[in-house]
Amino acid sequence: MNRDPFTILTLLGTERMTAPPTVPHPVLTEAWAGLDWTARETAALSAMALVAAARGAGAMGVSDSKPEAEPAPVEILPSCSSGAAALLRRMLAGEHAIVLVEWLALAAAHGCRVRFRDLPALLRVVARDQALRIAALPVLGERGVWLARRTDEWRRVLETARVEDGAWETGELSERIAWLRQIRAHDPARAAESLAKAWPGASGEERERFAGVVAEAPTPHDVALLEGEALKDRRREVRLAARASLLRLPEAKFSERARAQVAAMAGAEGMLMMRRLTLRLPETFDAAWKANGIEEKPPAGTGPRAFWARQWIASVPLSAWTSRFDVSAEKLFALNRDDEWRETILLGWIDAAMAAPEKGNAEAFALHLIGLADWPKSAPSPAEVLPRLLTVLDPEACARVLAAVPATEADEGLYFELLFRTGFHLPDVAARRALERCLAAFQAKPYPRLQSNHARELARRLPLATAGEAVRRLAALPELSSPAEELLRAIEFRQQVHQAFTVSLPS
Amino acid sequence: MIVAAYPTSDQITALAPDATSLKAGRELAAPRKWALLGGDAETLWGLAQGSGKEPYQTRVALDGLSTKCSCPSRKFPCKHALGLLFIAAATPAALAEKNRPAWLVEWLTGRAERQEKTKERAEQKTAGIAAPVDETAQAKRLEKRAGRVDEGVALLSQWLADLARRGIADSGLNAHAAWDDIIRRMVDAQAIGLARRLRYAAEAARGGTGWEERLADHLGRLHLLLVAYARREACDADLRAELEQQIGWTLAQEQVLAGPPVNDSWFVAARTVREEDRLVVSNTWLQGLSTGRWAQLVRTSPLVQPAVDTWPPGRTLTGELCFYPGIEPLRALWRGEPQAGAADRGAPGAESIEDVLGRYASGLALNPWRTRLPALLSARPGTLRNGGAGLLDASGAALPLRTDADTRDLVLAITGGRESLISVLWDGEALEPLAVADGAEWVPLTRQNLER
Repeated sequence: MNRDPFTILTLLGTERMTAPPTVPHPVLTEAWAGLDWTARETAALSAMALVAAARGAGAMGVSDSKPEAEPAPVEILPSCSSGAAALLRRMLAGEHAIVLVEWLALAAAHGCRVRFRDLPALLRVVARDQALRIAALPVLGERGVWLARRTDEWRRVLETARVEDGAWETGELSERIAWLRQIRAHDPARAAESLAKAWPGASGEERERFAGVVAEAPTPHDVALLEGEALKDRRREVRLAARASLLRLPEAKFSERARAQVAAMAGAEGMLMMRRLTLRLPETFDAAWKANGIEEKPPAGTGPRAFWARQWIASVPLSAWTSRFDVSAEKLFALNRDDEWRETILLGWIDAAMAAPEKGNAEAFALHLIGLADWPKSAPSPAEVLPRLLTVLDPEACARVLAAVPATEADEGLYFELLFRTGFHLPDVAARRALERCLAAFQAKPYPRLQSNHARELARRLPLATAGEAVRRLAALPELSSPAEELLRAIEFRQQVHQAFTVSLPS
Repeated sequence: MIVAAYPTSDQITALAPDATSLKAGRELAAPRKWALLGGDAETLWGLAQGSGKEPYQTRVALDGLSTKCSCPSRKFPCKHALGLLFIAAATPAALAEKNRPAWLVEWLTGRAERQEKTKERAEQKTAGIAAPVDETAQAKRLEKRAGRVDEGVALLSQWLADLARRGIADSGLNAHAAWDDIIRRMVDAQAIGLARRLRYAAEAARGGTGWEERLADHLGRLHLLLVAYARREACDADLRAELEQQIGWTLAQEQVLAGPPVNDSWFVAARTVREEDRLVVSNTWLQGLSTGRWAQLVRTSPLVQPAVDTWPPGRTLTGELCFYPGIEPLRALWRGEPQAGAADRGAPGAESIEDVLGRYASGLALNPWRTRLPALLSARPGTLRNGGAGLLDASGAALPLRTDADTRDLVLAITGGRESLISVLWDGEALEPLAVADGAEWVPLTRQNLER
């Protein structure tokens, strides 16, 4: 770097000065001439003062800077009220964050948008969570969409937004995902064709995201790509998404093959009361299975043959079993007893249901699983499996599953997990029952068995109609444990949020 | 100050002494936690159920937002007062009681009397009728202090000369230790202004690219100050007052209030709250709507009992300001309570970047130690030639913006890339954004409370 003599002087000091430095800028010539370099240090410090003043006073605007290329479009939606915005701000700062999704839904229902000043914080929070992303989109307004487009992380929020038709060819990944969803909804053939064309050139991450979109609602148009490419993809996530999609496409060759494989392995023997399912494990690994996404090497602690069988069973929906044996789901589960490999069958069923739960048998399967004496060790935990099953059930069925969890201390954990991990709103009756169980757990001695996070989740689940009763009963407790206090506060906060969106304040 | 309606949530937030009180205050904003809630156009009151046997009596006077509570908290205002204010802002209908209780009336009467007395005393003081001062003792104290300051000045002059001789590249100046000793000595010499300038210089020495220029600027200005201070007897009164304050002499408030007041409607352009030397420093930047004059209100309080000015950006306050003596002074004090406008009266006219630079240059010519200038710009965010963030005005001129990514996002969100009113501080190198207009609402871009 070339430095002027004056800067060199300040850096190296007057003790190394050989000659007075030349003036660093013509504007200082006259003042510079007045410096007396016989008193070197004083002259150097005075020179610094001169330069400082000249630099400050001589600052100029930068002329060829670029403004934002495209300013945000004009806003159409009105902004939410200042009261509602103040509550949103608190949630974005971490207070009562569980009520956020409800706030967003209320804002969307009232046709208003988030205030400009809250957009960055909102985008930061919702970008990490799919449910929030979907809920936030309608209330972002033009400004929010404009802002989200500028940052990679925030762009994901736009994945469910409507995009231009050219987005598939020219857009960012988030826009291509949005396009794919959009086109799949009304022209699945065209979407499948475009996806097939892009697939060979797509990166691993892109393939994973595309396969994820297909798995949301697979159609017969997807079969060719799923069977031909995705099922034997290098990425495990892509293979699993393909299998989950094909589970729901009985017309696929893969489904036929899987059903044939399972039919060859599994059967029934005995009559009437003695009737039960049997399983014969495959002796060797057929190299052709690889193309079906079946893995050869089992994880540690699992025998290879049982592992192959489990994967095949996981490739067939439960409804294929009920129709093959012409029994109800309840009956089918009852038939799986006594056999040496009954746990392998159950594991396969669990895997299949996790990949693609079926509305027709999810309730029965959930009730069956809740009733199990021993949970299979190598299965995902009940807290993972049961909420997944509940996703395809309506609130009433969910409430029935919930009610089936025994009211014992041992099962209380599962009850609350189910209550809190799933997204449904409880019907009124179930909500009252849930409140009873929670109130008891809050007051358990010496320590409340429910934690504050559970309390907040409960507050979110309660229908607003029962909120008033909940507040009254909680406030009437002789002493409030901190989770109970948390519940009370969260309910009150929800009430405030609803109030902020009604036109006039209730007196 | 007269507030026509109940304060807004933003105003209450600005009132909170710290984040903990704010959170506690919000939690108390639930009517069920109060045994009694009342309010009228002038005052709010409530009985808060606390941990004690008797509920706490909480009172708020809406003019000036002064509060009083029977709780033992040393925070001011306490969480109960904040809770009461939040209730008034969110659910005014909950303030059902309309008959003022005796404990409220008593406080209001006492308060009115005290206000009257303070006013009288201030008037007496300005008129010079106050208690006689032992002038000999005072002169002696001043002389002693002046001697100490002079010693400090001499010491610092020597220290600067040594530094100039050794050069700033060679002195390990990016280590704290290099500065701690001299800063402590300036504090001991009661030359707080010098200590503060040294701290800024130390920060510059530890800074990134261009540190050597910035440090040389700081040292040069410091040298200039020491030289000028040594010759202060020969200067006119304003310059002398300026130099003394720059060194660290403080002026008694009544001395400031004795000066000629400037009456105007003052627009609150920005407000900052920060911690400095275990003190809470709140700065409020005002611009007169008719005079166009800028003013800076500084309030310092100990960290344990923070007190800050509470007018949020965007409000207009009508009243008389007395400026500290000095060269083109910014720092001022209210003479009497300012009146907050019921409705906001809009912002003063904005400046262009050229205006600001011109004002800065002529300001430096008069006062080379004033290195930060408040301004209200009409500008839009953009990207500078070097890729950094900047603000551009309508003419296309731009200045760099010194800000973190979050603040930049906030400016973008609020302006949408369009020209907007932004209040800034210009320090000769970069703009520090302080607040931005979102329509009629002003959004602060700096911390408004102390987080702990």
